[in-house]
Amino acid sequence: MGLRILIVDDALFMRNMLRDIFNSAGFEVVGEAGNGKEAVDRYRELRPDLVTMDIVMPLQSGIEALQDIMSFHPQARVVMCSALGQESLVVEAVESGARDFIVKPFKAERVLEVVRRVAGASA
Amino acid sequence: MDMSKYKEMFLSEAREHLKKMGQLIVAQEKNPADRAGIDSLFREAHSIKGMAASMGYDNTAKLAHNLEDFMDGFRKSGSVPPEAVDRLLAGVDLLEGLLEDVDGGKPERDVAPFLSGKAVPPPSSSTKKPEGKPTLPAKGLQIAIELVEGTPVPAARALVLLKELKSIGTVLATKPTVASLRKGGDIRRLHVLLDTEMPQDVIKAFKESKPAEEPKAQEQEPEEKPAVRKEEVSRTVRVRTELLDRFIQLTGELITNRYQLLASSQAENWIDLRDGLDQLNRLISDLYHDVLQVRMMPLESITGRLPRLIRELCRKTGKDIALRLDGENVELDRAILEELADPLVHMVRNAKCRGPRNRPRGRSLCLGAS
Repeated sequence: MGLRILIVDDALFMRNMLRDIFNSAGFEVVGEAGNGKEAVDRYRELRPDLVTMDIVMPLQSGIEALQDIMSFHPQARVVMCSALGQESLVVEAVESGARDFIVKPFKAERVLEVVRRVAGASA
Repeated sequence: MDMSKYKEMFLSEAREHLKKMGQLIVAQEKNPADRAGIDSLFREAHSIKGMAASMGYDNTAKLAHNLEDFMDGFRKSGSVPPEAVDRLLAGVDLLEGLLEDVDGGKPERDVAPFLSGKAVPPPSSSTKKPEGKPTLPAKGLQIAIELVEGTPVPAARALVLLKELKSIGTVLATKPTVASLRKGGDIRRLHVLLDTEMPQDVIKAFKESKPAEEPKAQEQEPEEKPAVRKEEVSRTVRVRTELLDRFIQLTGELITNRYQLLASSQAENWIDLRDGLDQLNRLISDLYHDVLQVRMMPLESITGRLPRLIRELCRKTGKDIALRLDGENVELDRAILEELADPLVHMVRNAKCRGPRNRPRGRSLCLGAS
């Protein structure tokens, strides 16, 4: 399945890790963004099949970016990446249109499971 | 998943975050109500937490989480009180120690004494309500979902499940209600009344596609990690991407040049050969120049600790001196920077300690590079 993924996280370390996980599963990482604002720009430009979106980021948070993206592309498939202790933000993200979420620390199998399910679900 | 290959990257990025935190804390002390500073500190701690947790460095993650919560409290109060600055700096120091442990392949040092220390505002929102028997109208398909013990963010998980149920029917009622799910909290069971046209076997398949379990934070097994020698770690450098692009471009030109040289020597075309050699000469000196650039780092990489040093010295001597740094973006060879780091600290220390005592206020120490 040639799934095209955009990775959004302010930590290079996290982006590299997710990239490795996706590459190992044969998905194509079409782009990366380090903040919410960049995420929206990259989304417009690349129209990926799926976005993994960190919540806490500089310039524009993941939730604001999610809301922006949903406003011009309501079918967007965005999976939020959150750390423990961000309950209310995750709830807000799901309410704002996130398809699912994963909680750090990531496990490769779990990440792939969520991504496969969200990608498989009808838009 | 083999995490050891991420260790160096983790250390180098975590150290950058810590350096930033140190600077931010000192700046915050001068301007305690700076909202942007509070937010940045929160984010820095948050990033370290996420990275450390992913690597399975539990104590580091715990401490970073604690500092993050600590900062979150100031987001609400709007200002960082002076006594909190000391605690934050102590926390940053402890994090640095933890990174050293990780770096040396040693077990992480204990963070419990710090965590049990004063003034940790507890996160307030874990209200548990006793759940009564669900009372739903007896129409449609009744679905009971039980979330596995330890499911992270159960309320959000329930909302995701509801959303998926909506894709196959109409949700008539839920218990707890959507409104209370939105408030978060510890939800174990979700009852849904679903009006759906879907045949039973499809619903069964749908149910089975649900994840059985979410991972818990503590699941990572401790791994035997080979100790990495210190000099190996400090040998990693970050290179600007435009510089890498230059390398690729120059290498491409060198390949073209090689063909030109081969062709002209085979054809015994001495003029072309000489042109080719001239070009080779130019390409090699460009490449040499660019390679040297890889070793260049901004002065900032060694001045980052100075604000903190000044702060501590001010406290010790009772003097009040402002530090001004100019030209922090000036780039120098990393070997020179490494040699400069210690003398610079000595100079700053001396300038402070030996300054005239009769004018304790309003002096500033300037450090410039151009």
